[in-house]
Amino acid sequence: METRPPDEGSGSTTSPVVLEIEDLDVDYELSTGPLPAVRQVSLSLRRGQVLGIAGESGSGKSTLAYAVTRLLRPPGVIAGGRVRYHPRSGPAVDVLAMSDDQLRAFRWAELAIVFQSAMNALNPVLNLRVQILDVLAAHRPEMRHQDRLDRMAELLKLVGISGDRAKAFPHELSGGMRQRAMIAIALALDPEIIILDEPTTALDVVMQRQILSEIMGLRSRLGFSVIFITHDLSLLIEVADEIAVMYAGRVVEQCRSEEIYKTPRHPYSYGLLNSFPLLHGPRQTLTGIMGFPPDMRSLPPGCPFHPRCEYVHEGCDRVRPPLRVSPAPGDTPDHVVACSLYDDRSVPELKARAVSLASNDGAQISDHAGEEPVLSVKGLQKFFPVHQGPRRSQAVRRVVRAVDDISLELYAGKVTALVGESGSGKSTIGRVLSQLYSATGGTITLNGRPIKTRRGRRHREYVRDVQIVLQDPFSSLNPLHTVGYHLARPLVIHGFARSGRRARAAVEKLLADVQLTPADQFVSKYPHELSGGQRQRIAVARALAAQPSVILADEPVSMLDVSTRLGVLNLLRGLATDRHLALLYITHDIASARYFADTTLVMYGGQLIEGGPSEQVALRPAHPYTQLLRDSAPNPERESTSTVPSTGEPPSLINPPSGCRFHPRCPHVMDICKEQKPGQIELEGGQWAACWLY
Amino acid sequence: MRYLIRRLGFYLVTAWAAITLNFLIPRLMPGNPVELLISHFKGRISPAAMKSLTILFGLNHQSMLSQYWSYWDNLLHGNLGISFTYFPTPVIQVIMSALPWTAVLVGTSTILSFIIGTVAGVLVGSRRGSWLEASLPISTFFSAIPYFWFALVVLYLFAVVVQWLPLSGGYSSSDTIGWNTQFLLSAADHAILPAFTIIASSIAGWLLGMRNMMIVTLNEDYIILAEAKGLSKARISFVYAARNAILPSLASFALSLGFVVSGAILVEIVFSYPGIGYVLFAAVNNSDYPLMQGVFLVITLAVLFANILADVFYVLLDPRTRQEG
Repeated sequence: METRPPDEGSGSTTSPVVLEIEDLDVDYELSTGPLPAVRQVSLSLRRGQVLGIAGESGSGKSTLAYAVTRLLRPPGVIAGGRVRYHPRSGPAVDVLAMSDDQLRAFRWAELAIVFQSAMNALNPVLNLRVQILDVLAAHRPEMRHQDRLDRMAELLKLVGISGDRAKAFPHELSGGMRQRAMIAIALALDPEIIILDEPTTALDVVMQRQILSEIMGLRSRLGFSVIFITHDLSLLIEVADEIAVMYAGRVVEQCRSEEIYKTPRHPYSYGLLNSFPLLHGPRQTLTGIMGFPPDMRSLPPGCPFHPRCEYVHEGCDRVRPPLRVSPAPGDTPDHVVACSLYDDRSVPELKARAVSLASNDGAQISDHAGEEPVLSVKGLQKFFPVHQGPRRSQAVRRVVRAVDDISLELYAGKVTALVGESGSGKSTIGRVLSQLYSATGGTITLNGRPIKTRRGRRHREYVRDVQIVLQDPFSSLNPLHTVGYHLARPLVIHGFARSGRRARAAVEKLLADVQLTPADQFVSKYPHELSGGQRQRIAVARALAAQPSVILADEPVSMLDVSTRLGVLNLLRGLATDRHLALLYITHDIASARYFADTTLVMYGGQLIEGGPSEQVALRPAHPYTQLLRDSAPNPERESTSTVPSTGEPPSLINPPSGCRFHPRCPHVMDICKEQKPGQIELEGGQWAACWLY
Repeated sequence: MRYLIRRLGFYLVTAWAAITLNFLIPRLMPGNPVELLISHFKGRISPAAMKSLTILFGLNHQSMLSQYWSYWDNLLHGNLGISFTYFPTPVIQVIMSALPWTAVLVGTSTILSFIIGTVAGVLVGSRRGSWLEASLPISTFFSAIPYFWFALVVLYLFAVVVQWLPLSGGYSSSDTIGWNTQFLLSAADHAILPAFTIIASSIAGWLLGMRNMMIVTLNEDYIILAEAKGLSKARISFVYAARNAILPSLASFALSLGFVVSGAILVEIVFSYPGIGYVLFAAVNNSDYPLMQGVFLVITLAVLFANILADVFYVLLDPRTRQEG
């Protein structure tokens, strides 16, 4: 592999520009006329630099990536601007003027791209080998077959995939492996630029950390430049040299990443930064951003952010402020911002003024002495049968032990977080508790009464009392029914209203409860007319309609835009407190559990491994797995992407490891860990851990 | 492999159920069609044939179970009874002489139609907005107009007005059936018009299905990635997109192969083509139950066999089905 001069790859602001985007406009040409997707975007990527583009859905960040690579699909068209590529030698090339053949040669050899979802980006009917060799065959026809095979082996080794997996098909690989394979394909021709479009968003936090540090390691070794696109600003601050924040198709602020972290100038950047619960340092008030992301079909006049802005003033709704150098003293001259706050060259201080999270204050230790739990679960098990294995004759009846001996209690007015990575069994618990699945073993007790069968009056009362909010509000609402119908049905089913028409008043009340007002604007709308945040509020309202005493929220915000997440969490928290509901918050994000839940339980391989007051569990985790979670979470304070030791993959639930299920990945593993399952050891302040270290 | 074996077991059970139904239906029909039939034929056929019919339908008051037993026994010996229409030719012989005609004519035209339609679908789907899209309304027109009328127009134009091609039948009566050039040429000559009408009227289905799947598939991330990788347009269209898009088409292709045997009944009637469809038509007209039963049995088995074929294709083309479990 060719090595590049060592002076590059540091991302210094003086290295030569490799990609230059100037005044780029992208439209979606709809029958109703052109819809602006990207407007007047100018960015330049320097050799060896990581340029971050942050934005929410609809901000135009992915469209920008597609436009630069000329991969836009109709109706998307580049309406104006220039994209120039500066090769190492020779004159600059106009990417937008390239012919199809030039484009084919340019793509991948100079500019490669890694998509968000490797499952969809890899061809399901071709194995890895074909998909890697394809690139070499298309671009290096002169290369001998053996050389291509050698190159493939080298690439796989580079990303940590063993050579014998080359014959595997995408569905046979784990999520992390697939993303590694994507990176291997991207590196095949040693490109100058790699565009990473949400490369780790679909992965668990531990895997995300590993892949990220691998990419950054490869970058410093191979010297390519990166355009890193993500909605996760805190992650971006950690990895990028320079960051552009996009809103409604335009760059609203751009500067070096330290600066945007320390002194964000645009109220939107400020709001985004204060939307991420962090795992590190003292608790800060989270402000979030009010309202919902803009609808590109009907952008507000003036500054597109003004309806959501805390600092809105005279004129914001008329004049769209241009991108200008920040007048703030101490800001570097390349810090630009598009906001009229700086018109008269004064620099107001941005402060938390928006919704602050009505969370636990963090210091209090949840003490349930003398209080009866609303819902209590003892020794819960849920096994799923599988037909797998080389020969059925030798197989004992195999099961996936998705939930294996879990005990927990939910208290009225309290929020309990259940944290775990995908495949840990956390969602299965939600589904068993809502009786979508029947339990294999263990007892569930609601208000002191055990639930035995999935039949009869007591079961009916149970399913009314325990409501679930699912992860994906895009598929949990039937697209053929209106909001009013979705909310009236549970009222009728559970006997709170005689008919859908009579439920109208109750429906409006529910909409008000989830802060969707005025209600009559929403009643007759269909799900596709609402934004993600609004849909999830409908899902919450639907759960509330049954007047439950327990709400199970299964990753309620992970599909939502960052700026609307806090609003939904806030709503749930408020409902729990005001209505004395017991809330189980199922999540993969321990940081949000820190801010949002009273108690946090950590799940690994179908079992609970740690629990206690949220602040304590998040800041001083006792179990090595929880520590791994903490160390993997994004941390803008971190100087550079530190390398986390590669700790392997989550355990198989069909054939779980003996003893402690974390022992194959544990840095502190001892002999006893492999033989015996540790019990729950009480630590200080109500915290406990299932670990032999204590 | 295990997947295929499991599927095979499933098909055996299905075949058994279909054959059993074939046995039960005439016996369970209200008003006892068999007795009606026999009285209908009284005096028109010899007493010996009458007796054998009675035995064949179990009217000599055997128990259902022993009837069922002898039904299987006959079946496995290729004995499907005697046709009334072509009396006294055994049903199996009637079917066997008609089957090759249908299999060759309808089979070939179905395969041709699938290939042409699918390839055209790939091209139209990957070049949206080009002049190729004109093929959509044209092919839809041919499948939408009543087949009967279409075939008659074609017949009138080519066989009556210009007289390039023969009017009816499967071969000219002056030829002897066998592997001689003259017969084969004449058979091909007779097949052109019916084959053309079958293809023209069925191509739209393949074309539209493939085009739509191509459009869906071409929006998948892996296609965009293939494009970003700088692969050639042909490789993207055929290896990346078509390979994935063809999977649903393949299932319906296998099914339509199964229905080849039942023949394009209308085609065979219009062109007086000596195939299964024509035989079935004759059987229905003459209330020839043994022949109908025989034809249904053959159709059932053919459909099942075609499904097995589809499964094999699927396993070959889609690695996800190869996964255990």
